[in-house]
Amino acid sequence: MFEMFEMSNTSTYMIIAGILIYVIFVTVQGMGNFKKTSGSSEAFFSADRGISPIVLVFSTAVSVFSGLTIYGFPSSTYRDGIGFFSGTGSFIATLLIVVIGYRLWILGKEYGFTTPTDFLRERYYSEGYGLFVAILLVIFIVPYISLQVITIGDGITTTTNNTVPYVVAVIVASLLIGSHVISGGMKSVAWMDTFHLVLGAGAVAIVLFALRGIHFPEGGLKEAAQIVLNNPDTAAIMSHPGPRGVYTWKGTLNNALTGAVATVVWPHIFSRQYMAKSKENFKVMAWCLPLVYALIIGMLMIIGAILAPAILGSGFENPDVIMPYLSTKYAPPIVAFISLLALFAFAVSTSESLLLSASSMASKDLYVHRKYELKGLKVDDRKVVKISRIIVLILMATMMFIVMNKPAAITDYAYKLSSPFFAMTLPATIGGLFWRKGTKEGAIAGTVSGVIVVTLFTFFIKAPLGFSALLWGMFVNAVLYVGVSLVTKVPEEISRKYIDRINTIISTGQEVHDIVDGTVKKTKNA
Amino acid sequence: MSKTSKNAFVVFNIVFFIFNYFAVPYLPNFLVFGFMPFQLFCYLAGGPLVAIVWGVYFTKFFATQHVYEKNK
Repeated sequence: MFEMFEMSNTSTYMIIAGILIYVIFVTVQGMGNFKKTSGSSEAFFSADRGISPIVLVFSTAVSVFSGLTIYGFPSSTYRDGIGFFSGTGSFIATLLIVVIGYRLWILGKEYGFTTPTDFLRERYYSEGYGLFVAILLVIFIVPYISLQVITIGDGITTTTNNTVPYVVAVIVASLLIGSHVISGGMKSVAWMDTFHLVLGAGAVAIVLFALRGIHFPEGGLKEAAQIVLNNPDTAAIMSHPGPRGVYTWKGTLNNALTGAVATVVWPHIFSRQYMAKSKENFKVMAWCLPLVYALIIGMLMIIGAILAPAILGSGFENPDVIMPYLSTKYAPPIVAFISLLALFAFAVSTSESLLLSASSMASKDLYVHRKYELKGLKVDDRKVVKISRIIVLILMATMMFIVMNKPAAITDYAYKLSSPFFAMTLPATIGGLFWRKGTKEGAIAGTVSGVIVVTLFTFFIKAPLGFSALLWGMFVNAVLYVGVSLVTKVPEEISRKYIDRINTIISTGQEVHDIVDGTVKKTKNA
Repeated sequence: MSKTSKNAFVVFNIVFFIFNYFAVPYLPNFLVFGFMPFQLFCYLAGGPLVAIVWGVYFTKFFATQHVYEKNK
Protein backbone atom coordinates (compact mmCIF):
# COMPACT_ATOMS: atom_id res chain seq x y z
CA MET A 1 0.00 0.00 0.00
CA PHE A 2 2.83 2.42 0.83
CA GLU A 3 5.79 3.06 -1.44
CA MET A 4 8.91 1.21 -0.40
CA PHE A 5 12.47 2.10 -1.34
CA GLU A 6 15.40 -0.07 -2.24
CA MET A 7 18.93 0.92 -1.31
CA SER A 8 21.18 0.70 -4.36
CA ASN A 9 24.91 0.06 -4.07
CA THR A 10 25.60 3.63 -5.14
CA SER A 11 23.39 4.98 -2.39
CA THR A 12 25.03 2.72 0.16
CA TYR A 13 28.51 3.93 -0.76
CA MET A 14 27.38 7.53 -0.68
CA ILE A 15 26.01 7.00 2.81
CA ILE A 16 29.33 5.47 3.85
CA ALA A 17 31.12 8.51 2.38
CA GLY A 18 28.80 10.77 4.35
CA ILE A 19 29.59 8.87 7.54
CA LEU A 20 33.31 9.31 6.88
CA ILE A 21 32.88 13.06 6.32
CA TYR A 22 31.09 13.31 9.67
CA VAL A 23 33.84 11.31 11.40
CA ILE A 24 36.58 13.51 9.92
CA PHE A 25 34.71 16.70 10.84
CA VAL A 26 34.26 15.66 14.49
CA THR A 27 37.85 14.45 14.78
CA VAL A 28 39.37 17.63 13.33
CA GLN A 29 37.15 19.79 15.53
CA GLY A 30 38.38 17.95 18.61
CA MET A 31 42.04 18.24 17.68
CA GLY A 32 41.75 22.00 17.56
CA ASN A 33 41.33 22.07 21.35
CA PHE A 34 44.12 19.67 22.27
CA LYS A 35 46.70 22.25 23.31
CA LYS A 36 44.17 24.57 24.96
CA THR A 37 43.08 21.82 27.36
CA SER A 38 46.38 20.08 28.00
CA GLY A 39 47.59 22.38 30.73
CA SER A 40 44.48 22.76 32.83
CA SER A 41 42.16 20.20 34.33
CA GLU A 42 39.52 22.88 34.75
CA ALA A 43 39.69 23.56 31.01
CA PHE A 44 39.63 19.84 30.21
CA PHE A 45 36.78 18.85 32.53
CA SER A 46 34.73 22.03 32.91
CA ALA A 47 35.62 24.21 29.92
CA ASP A 48 37.06 26.74 32.42
CA ARG A 49 33.60 27.09 33.98
CA GLY A 50 32.82 29.39 31.11
CA ILE A 51 30.05 27.79 29.07
CA SER A 52 27.62 30.38 27.79
CA PRO A 53 23.85 30.09 28.47
CA ILE A 54 22.63 28.84 25.11
CA VAL A 55 25.54 26.40 24.70
CA LEU A 56 24.82 24.96 28.16
CA VAL A 57 21.13 24.52 27.31
CA PHE A 58 21.93 22.80 24.03
CA SER A 59 24.67 20.73 25.61
CA THR A 60 22.38 19.64 28.45
CA ALA A 61 19.52 18.79 26.11
CA VAL A 62 21.55 16.75 23.66
CA SER A 63 23.36 14.98 26.48
CA VAL A 64 20.03 13.95 27.98
CA PHE A 65 18.72 12.83 24.58
CA SER A 66 20.66 9.70 23.77
CA GLY A 67 20.53 7.21 20.91
CA LEU A 68 17.86 5.51 22.96
CA THR A 69 15.76 8.68 22.75
CA ILE A 70 15.73 8.92 19.00
CA TYR A 71 15.09 5.21 18.57
CA GLY A 72 13.31 4.64 21.87
CA PHE A 73 10.64 7.34 21.76
CA PRO A 74 9.13 6.31 18.43
CA SER A 75 9.41 2.60 19.24
CA SER A 76 8.00 2.83 22.76
CA THR A 77 5.23 5.14 21.61
CA TYR A 78 4.32 2.70 18.85
CA ARG A 79 4.37 -0.16 21.33
CA ASP A 80 2.66 1.45 24.35
CA GLY A 81 1.03 4.63 23.16
CA ILE A 82 1.32 8.36 23.78
CA GLY A 83 1.63 7.77 27.53
CA PHE A 84 5.33 7.21 26.91
CA PHE A 85 5.65 11.00 26.86
CA SER A 86 5.73 10.68 30.64
CA GLY A 87 9.39 9.74 30.22
CA THR A 88 10.05 13.48 29.99
CA GLY A 89 8.49 13.94 33.40
CA SER A 90 6.63 16.88 31.90
CA PHE A 91 9.82 18.91 31.78
CA ILE A 92 10.57 18.47 35.47
CA ALA A 93 14.25 17.97 34.71
CA THR A 94 14.46 21.65 33.78
CA LEU A 95 13.05 22.80 37.10
CA LEU A 96 15.38 20.54 39.05
CA ILE A 97 18.41 21.58 37.00
CA VAL A 98 17.72 25.27 37.63
CA VAL A 99 16.94 24.95 41.35
CA ILE A 100 19.57 22.37 42.22
CA GLY A 101 22.06 23.34 39.55
CA TYR A 102 22.31 26.94 40.72
CA ARG A 103 23.33 25.83 44.20
CA LEU A 104 25.80 23.32 42.77
CA TRP A 105 27.25 26.06 40.61
CA ILE A 106 27.80 28.35 43.61
CA LEU A 107 29.39 25.44 45.50
CA GLY A 108 31.62 24.76 42.53
CA LYS A 109 32.77 28.38 42.53
CA GLU A 110 33.23 28.46 46.29
CA TYR A 111 35.00 25.14 46.77
CA GLY A 112 36.30 24.13 43.35
CA PHE A 113 34.00 21.13 42.79
CA THR A 114 34.00 19.56 39.34
CA THR A 115 32.39 16.14 39.84
CA PRO A 116 29.35 14.71 41.65
CA THR A 117 31.74 12.93 44.00
CA ASP A 118 33.45 16.19 45.00
CA PHE A 119 30.19 17.52 46.40
CA LEU A 120 28.89 14.30 47.96
CA ARG A 121 32.24 13.43 49.57
CA GLU A 122 32.74 16.87 51.06
CA ARG A 123 29.14 17.49 52.07
CA TYR A 124 28.94 14.16 53.82
CA TYR A 125 32.51 14.43 55.21
CA SER A 126 33.17 10.84 54.21
CA GLU A 127 35.97 9.51 52.04
CA GLY A 128 34.24 6.12 52.08
CA TYR A 129 30.97 7.51 50.78
CA GLY A 130 32.80 9.46 48.09
CA LEU A 131 34.69 6.34 47.03
CA PHE A 132 31.49 4.28 46.91
CA VAL A 133 29.67 6.86 44.78
CA ALA A 134 32.60 7.31 42.39
CA ILE A 135 32.99 3.57 41.82
CA LEU A 136 29.24 3.07 41.42
CA LEU A 137 28.90 5.88 38.89
CA VAL A 138 32.01 5.00 36.87
CA ILE A 139 31.16 1.29 36.66
CA PHE A 140 27.60 1.89 35.50
CA ILE A 141 28.50 4.62 33.04
CA VAL A 142 30.31 1.96 30.99
CA PRO A 143 27.20 -0.11 30.07
CA TYR A 144 25.24 3.07 29.36
CA ILE A 145 27.85 4.25 26.86
CA SER A 146 28.12 0.73 25.48
CA LEU A 147 24.40 0.74 24.68
CA GLN A 148 24.83 3.99 22.77
CA VAL A 149 27.65 2.52 20.71
CA ILE A 150 25.67 -0.68 20.10
CA THR A 151 22.77 1.48 18.89
CA ILE A 152 25.10 3.36 16.54
CA GLY A 153 26.46 0.03 15.28
CA ASP A 154 22.98 -1.35 14.64
CA GLY A 155 21.93 1.90 12.99
CA ILE A 156 24.89 1.88 10.59
CA THR A 157 24.48 -1.79 9.64
CA THR A 158 20.73 -1.37 9.08
CA THR A 159 21.14 1.79 7.04
CA THR A 160 23.98 0.41 4.89
CA ASN A 161 22.24 -2.95 4.47
CA ASN A 162 25.05 -4.73 6.29
CA THR A 163 27.65 -3.40 3.85
CA VAL A 164 29.43 -1.97 6.88
CA PRO A 165 29.77 -4.88 9.29
CA TYR A 166 28.64 -4.31 12.88
CA VAL A 167 32.16 -4.83 14.29
CA VAL A 168 33.65 -2.18 12.00
CA ALA A 169 30.83 0.24 12.82
CA VAL A 170 31.30 -0.01 16.58
CA ILE A 171 35.08 0.21 16.34
CA VAL A 172 34.80 3.43 14.32
CA ALA A 173 32.17 4.82 16.71
CA SER A 174 34.26 3.97 19.80
CA LEU A 175 37.41 5.49 18.31
CA LEU A 176 35.54 8.61 17.26
CA ILE A 177 34.00 9.18 20.68
CA GLY A 178 37.19 8.39 22.57
CA SER A 179 39.48 10.46 20.37
CA HIS A 180 37.16 13.48 20.45
CA VAL A 181 37.08 13.43 24.25
CA ILE A 182 40.84 12.89 24.54
CA SER A 183 41.55 15.73 22.14
CA GLY A 184 39.65 18.58 23.69
CA GLY A 185 37.74 17.45 26.75
CA MET A 186 34.71 19.55 27.60
CA LYS A 187 35.77 22.40 25.35
CA SER A 188 35.35 20.16 22.32
CA VAL A 189 32.34 18.31 23.68
CA ALA A 190 30.34 21.46 24.51
CA TRP A 191 30.85 23.04 21.11
CA MET A 192 30.05 19.80 19.33
CA ASP A 193 26.93 19.38 21.49
CA THR A 194 25.57 22.64 20.10
CA PHE A 195 26.19 21.43 16.57
CA HIS A 196 24.72 18.02 17.40
CA LEU A 197 21.49 19.45 18.81
CA VAL A 198 20.86 21.52 15.71
CA LEU A 199 21.79 18.54 13.52
CA GLY A 200 19.64 16.13 15.50
CA ALA A 201 16.57 18.35 15.65
CA GLY A 202 16.87 19.23 11.97
CA ALA A 203 17.34 15.61 10.98
CA VAL A 204 14.29 14.43 12.95
CA ALA A 205 12.21 17.18 11.35
CA ILE A 206 13.37 16.15 7.86
CA VAL A 207 12.51 12.48 8.53
CA LEU A 208 9.05 13.46 9.82
CA PHE A 209 8.24 15.74 6.91
CA ALA A 210 9.68 13.29 4.37
CA LEU A 211 7.53 10.40 5.62
CA ARG A 212 4.48 12.65 5.76
CA GLY A 213 5.14 14.13 2.31
CA ILE A 214 5.88 10.82 0.58
CA HIS A 215 3.08 8.71 2.04
CA PHE A 216 0.35 11.24 2.84
CA PRO A 217 0.84 13.98 0.23
CA GLU A 218 -2.80 15.01 0.15
CA GLY A 219 -4.15 14.58 3.64
CA GLY A 220 -0.93 14.94 5.61
CA LEU A 221 -0.94 14.04 9.28
CA LYS A 222 -4.76 14.26 9.41
CA GLU A 223 -5.01 11.42 6.93
CA ALA A 224 -2.41 9.39 8.81
CA ALA A 225 -4.21 9.95 12.12
CA GLN A 226 -7.51 8.78 10.64
CA ILE A 227 -5.87 5.59 9.37
CA VAL A 228 -4.54 4.89 12.86
CA LEU A 229 -7.87 5.62 14.55
CA ASN A 230 -9.90 3.61 12.04
CA ASN A 231 -7.79 0.49 12.69
CA PRO A 232 -8.95 -1.07 15.98
CA ASP A 233 -5.48 -2.62 16.41
CA THR A 234 -3.68 0.73 16.31
CA ALA A 235 -6.25 3.16 17.68
CA ALA A 236 -5.15 2.56 21.28
CA ILE A 237 -1.71 3.97 20.47
CA MET A 238 -3.24 7.44 20.36
CA SER A 239 -4.57 7.40 23.90
CA HIS A 240 -3.93 6.22 27.44
CA PRO A 241 -3.36 3.59 28.70
CA GLY A 242 -2.12 2.37 25.30
CA PRO A 243 -2.30 -0.99 23.49
CA ARG A 244 -0.88 -2.98 26.40
CA GLY A 245 -2.54 -0.96 29.15
CA VAL A 246 0.80 0.30 30.51
CA TYR A 247 0.10 4.02 30.97
CA THR A 248 -2.38 4.29 33.74
CA TRP A 249 -1.37 6.86 36.37
CA LYS A 250 1.00 4.28 37.90
CA GLY A 251 2.73 3.62 34.63
CA THR A 252 2.96 7.36 33.99
CA LEU A 253 4.49 7.98 37.42
CA ASN A 254 6.93 5.07 37.06
CA ASN A 255 8.08 6.33 33.69
CA ALA A 256 8.41 9.93 34.85
CA LEU A 257 10.59 8.95 37.79
CA THR A 258 12.71 6.56 35.78
CA GLY A 259 13.17 8.80 32.80
CA ALA A 260 13.15 12.31 34.14
CA VAL A 261 13.19 13.08 37.84
CA ALA A 262 16.68 11.75 38.38
CA THR A 263 18.10 13.39 35.23
CA VAL A 264 19.72 16.15 37.27
CA VAL A 265 21.96 13.65 39.09
CA TRP A 266 23.06 11.72 36.03
CA PRO A 267 26.84 12.19 36.26
CA HIS A 268 27.25 14.12 33.01
CA ILE A 269 24.30 16.42 33.76
CA PHE A 270 25.39 16.93 37.39
CA SER A 271 28.86 18.01 36.25
CA ARG A 272 27.44 20.47 33.75
CA GLN A 273 26.05 22.63 36.53
CA TYR A 274 29.60 23.50 37.56
CA MET A 275 30.41 24.68 34.06
CA ALA A 276 27.99 27.60 33.81
CA LYS A 277 29.54 30.96 33.05
CA SER A 278 27.12 32.88 35.27
CA LYS A 279 23.66 32.88 36.81
CA GLU A 280 22.39 33.82 33.33
CA ASN A 281 22.87 30.19 32.35
CA PHE A 282 20.19 29.07 34.77
CA LYS A 283 17.85 31.89 33.83
CA VAL A 284 18.01 30.90 30.15
CA MET A 285 17.78 27.19 31.01
CA ALA A 286 14.44 27.81 32.77
CA TRP A 287 12.61 28.86 29.62
CA CYS A 288 14.70 27.41 26.81
CA LEU A 289 15.10 23.78 27.84
CA PRO A 290 11.34 23.01 28.05
CA LEU A 291 10.90 24.37 24.53
CA VAL A 292 13.74 22.20 23.20
CA TYR A 293 12.23 19.17 24.91
CA ALA A 294 8.73 19.88 23.55
CA LEU A 295 10.02 20.36 20.01
CA ILE A 296 12.21 17.27 19.73
CA ILE A 297 10.08 14.87 21.76
CA GLY A 298 6.95 16.15 20.03
CA MET A 299 8.38 15.26 16.62
CA LEU A 300 9.52 11.82 17.77
CA MET A 301 6.09 11.11 19.24
CA ILE A 302 4.31 12.09 16.05
CA ILE A 303 6.51 9.61 14.19
CA GLY A 304 5.78 6.87 16.74
CA ALA A 305 2.10 7.51 17.39
CA ILE A 306 0.85 8.54 13.96
CA LEU A 307 3.23 7.91 11.04
CA ALA A 308 4.62 4.52 12.11
CA PRO A 309 1.26 2.83 12.81
CA ALA A 310 -0.33 4.47 9.78
CA ILE A 311 2.40 3.13 7.46
CA LEU A 312 3.23 -0.18 9.15
CA GLY A 313 -0.07 -1.08 10.78
CA SER A 314 -0.08 -2.95 14.07
CA GLY A 315 2.13 -5.82 15.15
CA PHE A 316 5.38 -4.70 13.52
CA GLU A 317 7.78 -7.45 14.58
CA ASN A 318 10.68 -5.36 15.80
CA PRO A 319 9.48 -2.01 17.16
CA ASP A 320 12.95 -1.24 18.56
CA VAL A 321 14.18 -0.47 15.04
CA ILE A 322 11.10 1.33 13.81
CA MET A 323 12.95 4.59 13.20
CA PRO A 324 15.76 3.19 11.02
CA TYR A 325 13.31 0.80 9.36
CA LEU A 326 10.96 3.60 8.29
CA SER A 327 13.89 5.74 7.20
CA THR A 328 15.49 3.03 5.06
CA LYS A 329 12.49 1.14 3.66
CA TYR A 330 9.89 3.89 3.34
CA ALA A 331 12.02 6.85 2.39
CA PRO A 332 14.75 7.56 -0.17
CA PRO A 333 18.40 6.88 0.80
CA ILE A 334 19.10 10.56 1.57
CA VAL A 335 16.47 10.40 4.33
CA ALA A 336 18.02 7.19 5.64
CA PHE A 337 21.35 8.99 5.87
CA ILE A 338 19.79 11.99 7.59
CA SER A 339 18.13 9.68 10.11
CA LEU A 340 21.53 8.15 10.78
CA LEU A 341 22.96 11.64 11.36
CA ALA A 342 20.25 12.24 13.95
CA LEU A 343 21.29 9.02 15.70
CA PHE A 344 24.94 10.09 15.63
CA ALA A 345 24.02 13.49 17.02
CA PHE A 346 22.22 12.12 20.04
CA ALA A 347 24.25 8.97 20.71
CA VAL A 348 27.71 10.47 20.20
CA SER A 349 26.96 13.53 22.35
CA THR A 350 25.65 11.48 25.25
CA SER A 351 28.51 9.01 24.99
CA GLU A 352 31.14 11.76 24.96
CA SER A 353 29.63 13.50 27.94
CA LEU A 354 29.39 10.31 29.95
CA LEU A 355 32.91 9.23 28.97
CA LEU A 356 34.31 12.59 30.07
CA SER A 357 32.37 12.37 33.31
CA ALA A 358 33.64 8.85 33.99
CA SER A 359 37.22 9.83 33.24
CA SER A 360 37.02 12.89 35.49
CA MET A 361 35.72 10.82 38.40
CA ALA A 362 38.18 7.99 37.79
CA SER A 363 41.17 10.31 37.43
CA LYS A 364 40.34 12.99 40.00
CA ASP A 365 38.23 11.20 42.58
CA LEU A 366 39.70 7.71 42.46
CA TYR A 367 43.33 8.35 41.51
CA VAL A 368 44.54 11.90 42.13
CA HIS A 369 42.50 12.46 45.29
CA ARG A 370 43.58 9.19 46.89
CA LYS A 371 47.19 9.12 45.69
CA TYR A 372 48.03 12.80 46.12
CA GLU A 373 45.47 15.02 47.80
CA LEU A 374 44.78 12.79 50.80
CA LYS A 375 48.54 12.66 51.46
CA GLY A 376 48.81 16.43 51.21
CA LEU A 377 50.78 16.18 47.99
CA LYS A 378 50.34 18.54 45.08
CA VAL A 379 49.93 17.30 41.55
CA ASP A 380 50.64 19.24 38.39
CA ASP A 381 47.51 20.02 36.40
CA ARG A 382 49.15 18.81 33.20
CA LYS A 383 49.63 15.43 34.84
CA VAL A 384 45.94 15.31 35.83
CA VAL A 385 44.90 15.91 32.22
CA LYS A 386 47.38 13.28 31.03
CA ILE A 387 46.03 10.74 33.51
CA SER A 388 42.49 11.55 32.41
CA ARG A 389 43.35 10.96 28.78
CA ILE A 390 44.89 7.60 29.63
CA ILE A 391 41.76 6.67 31.57
CA VAL A 392 39.60 7.64 28.59
CA LEU A 393 41.73 5.24 26.51
CA ILE A 394 41.24 2.44 29.05
CA LEU A 395 37.49 3.04 29.27
CA MET A 396 37.25 3.21 25.49
CA ALA A 397 39.12 -0.09 25.10
CA THR A 398 36.85 -1.72 27.70
CA MET A 399 33.82 -0.39 25.93
CA MET A 400 35.05 -1.62 22.54
CA PHE A 401 35.55 -5.10 23.91
CA ILE A 402 32.03 -5.07 25.35
CA VAL A 403 30.25 -3.72 22.27
CA MET A 404 32.08 -6.01 19.85
CA ASN A 405 30.83 -9.00 21.79
CA LYS A 406 27.44 -7.43 22.52
CA PRO A 407 26.74 -9.65 25.50
CA ALA A 408 23.17 -9.95 26.67
CA ALA A 409 24.47 -9.11 30.12
CA ILE A 410 24.94 -5.54 28.99
CA THR A 411 21.62 -4.99 27.31
CA ASP A 412 19.56 -7.09 29.68
CA TYR A 413 21.26 -6.49 32.99
CA ALA A 414 23.83 -3.77 33.40
CA TYR A 415 21.99 -1.11 31.44
CA LYS A 416 18.80 -1.71 33.44
CA LEU A 417 20.76 -0.74 36.54
CA SER A 418 22.59 2.30 35.15
CA SER A 419 19.85 4.90 35.31
CA PRO A 420 18.32 3.65 38.59
CA PHE A 421 21.75 3.54 40.23
CA PHE A 422 22.51 7.09 39.11
CA ALA A 423 19.15 8.04 40.61
CA MET A 424 20.12 6.65 44.02
CA THR A 425 22.29 9.72 44.63
CA LEU A 426 19.26 12.02 44.30
CA PRO A 427 18.02 11.99 47.93
CA ALA A 428 21.53 12.61 49.27
CA THR A 429 22.07 15.39 46.72
CA ILE A 430 18.82 17.20 47.48
CA GLY A 431 19.24 16.68 51.21
CA GLY A 432 22.84 17.77 50.97
CA LEU A 433 21.86 21.06 49.40
CA PHE A 434 18.76 21.97 51.36
CA TRP A 435 18.70 20.11 54.69
CA ARG A 436 21.08 21.00 57.49
CA LYS A 437 20.48 17.72 59.24
CA GLY A 438 21.51 15.36 56.45
CA THR A 439 24.31 13.23 57.89
CA LYS A 440 27.01 10.94 56.57
CA GLU A 441 25.30 7.95 58.14
CA GLY A 442 21.98 8.88 56.55
CA ALA A 443 23.52 9.30 53.11
CA ILE A 444 25.33 5.97 53.31
CA ALA A 445 22.28 4.10 54.62
CA GLY A 446 20.01 5.66 52.02
CA THR A 447 22.21 5.22 48.99
CA VAL A 448 23.36 1.67 49.78
CA SER A 449 19.85 0.47 50.64
CA GLY A 450 18.49 2.07 47.48
CA VAL A 451 21.05 0.23 45.38
CA ILE A 452 20.16 -3.07 47.06
CA VAL A 453 16.41 -2.56 46.61
CA VAL A 454 16.79 -1.63 42.94
CA THR A 455 18.91 -4.73 42.29
CA LEU A 456 16.46 -6.96 44.17
CA PHE A 457 13.38 -5.70 42.37
CA THR A 458 15.05 -5.61 38.95
CA PHE A 459 16.26 -9.20 38.89
CA PHE A 460 14.97 -11.29 41.76
CA ILE A 461 11.57 -10.22 42.99
CA LYS A 462 8.75 -8.54 41.11
CA ALA A 463 8.42 -4.98 42.38
CA PRO A 464 5.21 -4.84 44.42
CA LEU A 465 2.02 -2.86 43.77
CA GLY A 466 2.90 -2.15 40.16
CA PHE A 467 5.58 0.43 40.99
CA SER A 468 9.01 0.26 39.41
CA ALA A 469 12.23 -0.92 41.04
CA LEU A 470 13.56 2.63 40.80
CA LEU A 471 10.55 4.05 42.62
CA TRP A 472 10.89 1.53 45.44
CA GLY A 473 14.64 2.13 45.61
CA MET A 474 14.08 5.86 45.82
CA PHE A 475 11.42 5.43 48.52
CA VAL A 476 13.54 3.20 50.74
CA ASN A 477 16.55 5.42 50.07
CA ALA A 478 14.71 8.59 51.12
CA VAL A 479 13.14 7.01 54.21
CA LEU A 480 16.47 5.69 55.45
CA TYR A 481 18.34 8.88 54.57
CA VAL A 482 15.91 10.98 56.60
CA GLY A 483 15.42 8.46 59.38
CA VAL A 484 19.08 7.74 60.01
CA SER A 485 20.01 11.42 59.67
CA LEU A 486 17.50 12.31 62.38
CA VAL A 487 19.18 10.00 64.88
CA THR A 488 22.75 10.97 64.02
CA LYS A 489 24.54 14.28 64.16
CA VAL A 490 26.10 16.40 61.44
CA PRO A 491 29.08 18.58 62.38
CA GLU A 492 28.00 22.20 62.68
CA GLU A 493 30.82 23.42 60.42
CA ILE A 494 29.49 21.21 57.61
CA SER A 495 26.01 22.66 57.81
CA ARG A 496 27.44 26.17 57.99
CA LYS A 497 29.74 25.62 55.03
CA TYR A 498 27.42 23.87 52.60
CA ILE A 499 23.93 25.01 53.59
CA ASP A 500 23.97 28.23 55.64
CA ARG A 501 26.63 29.96 53.58
CA ILE A 502 24.89 29.15 50.32
CA ASN A 503 21.49 30.16 51.71
CA THR A 504 22.97 33.48 52.81
CA ILE A 505 24.55 34.05 49.43
CA ILE A 506 21.25 33.35 47.70
CA SER A 507 18.96 35.23 50.03
CA THR A 508 21.06 38.31 50.63
CA GLY A 509 23.34 38.54 47.63
CA GLN A 510 27.09 38.07 47.37
CA GLU A 511 28.18 41.54 48.43
CA VAL A 512 26.20 41.46 51.63
CA HIS A 513 27.56 38.00 52.45
CA ASP A 514 31.12 39.17 51.96
CA ILE A 515 30.59 42.24 54.13
CA VAL A 516 29.09 40.18 56.94
CA ASP A 517 31.71 37.47 56.60
CA GLY A 518 34.51 40.00 56.61
CA THR A 519 33.13 41.80 59.66
CA VAL A 520 32.77 38.55 61.59
CA LYS A 521 36.38 37.61 60.79
CA LYS A 522 37.66 41.04 61.85
CA THR A 523 35.75 40.81 65.12
CA LYS A 524 37.16 37.36 65.82
CA ASN A 525 40.68 38.52 65.10
CA ALA A 526 40.35 41.64 67.23
CA MET B 1 10.94 38.30 45.87
CA SER B 2 7.67 38.36 47.76
CA LYS B 3 6.53 35.36 49.73
CA THR B 4 3.25 35.47 47.79
CA SER B 5 4.96 35.02 44.43
CA LYS B 6 7.13 32.20 45.82
CA ASN B 7 4.08 30.43 47.21
CA ALA B 8 2.15 30.94 43.99
CA PHE B 9 5.07 29.47 42.07
CA VAL B 10 5.17 26.39 44.28
CA VAL B 11 1.39 25.93 44.00
CA PHE B 12 1.52 26.30 40.21
CA ASN B 13 4.17 23.58 39.93
CA ILE B 14 2.35 21.19 42.24
CA VAL B 15 -0.86 21.62 40.25
CA PHE B 16 0.98 21.34 36.93
CA PHE B 17 2.74 18.08 37.76
CA ILE B 18 -0.27 16.50 39.44
CA PHE B 19 -2.34 17.37 36.39
CA ASN B 20 0.22 15.88 33.99
CA TYR B 21 0.99 12.71 35.93
CA PHE B 22 -2.45 11.87 37.30
CA ALA B 23 -5.12 13.68 35.31
CA VAL B 24 -4.04 13.70 31.66
CA PRO B 25 -4.27 9.88 31.32
CA TYR B 26 -7.98 10.19 32.11
CA LEU B 27 -8.93 13.24 30.06
CA PRO B 28 -11.27 12.88 27.08
CA ASN B 29 -9.30 12.24 23.92
CA PHE B 30 -10.39 13.94 20.69
CA LEU B 31 -8.20 15.22 17.88
CA VAL B 32 -6.68 18.69 17.97
CA PHE B 33 -5.63 20.28 14.65
CA GLY B 34 -7.12 17.20 13.00
CA PHE B 35 -4.29 14.83 13.95
CA MET B 36 -2.99 15.28 17.48
CA PRO B 37 -4.68 13.44 20.37
CA PHE B 38 -5.85 15.94 22.99
CA GLN B 39 -3.93 14.10 25.71
CA LEU B 40 -0.69 14.47 23.75
CA PHE B 41 -1.54 18.10 23.05
CA CYS B 42 -1.89 18.70 26.79
CA TYR B 43 1.54 17.20 27.38
CA LEU B 44 3.24 19.18 24.62
CA ALA B 45 1.47 22.44 25.40
CA GLY B 46 2.96 22.18 28.85
CA GLY B 47 6.34 23.00 27.33
CA PRO B 48 5.54 26.58 26.23
CA LEU B 49 3.41 27.06 29.35
CA VAL B 50 6.21 26.26 31.79
CA ALA B 51 8.72 28.07 29.60
CA ILE B 52 6.69 31.24 30.22
CA VAL B 53 6.00 30.68 33.92
CA TRP B 54 9.46 29.44 34.83
CA GLY B 55 11.08 32.00 32.55
CA VAL B 56 9.28 34.89 34.23
CA TYR B 57 9.80 33.59 37.74
CA PHE B 58 13.48 32.84 37.39
CA THR B 59 14.16 36.06 35.52
CA LYS B 60 12.79 37.92 38.55
CA PHE B 61 14.61 35.61 40.94
CA PHE B 62 17.99 35.93 39.28
CA ALA B 63 17.60 39.69 39.14
CA THR B 64 18.02 39.56 42.92
CA GLN B 65 21.19 37.51 42.68
CA HIS B 66 24.55 39.15 42.35
CA VAL B 67 26.84 36.17 42.84
CA TYR B 68 30.14 36.28 41.01
CA GLU B 69 29.17 39.21 38.88
CA LYS B 70 32.62 40.67 39.48
CA ASN B 71 34.37 37.48 38.20
CA LYS B 72 35.87 36.39 41.50
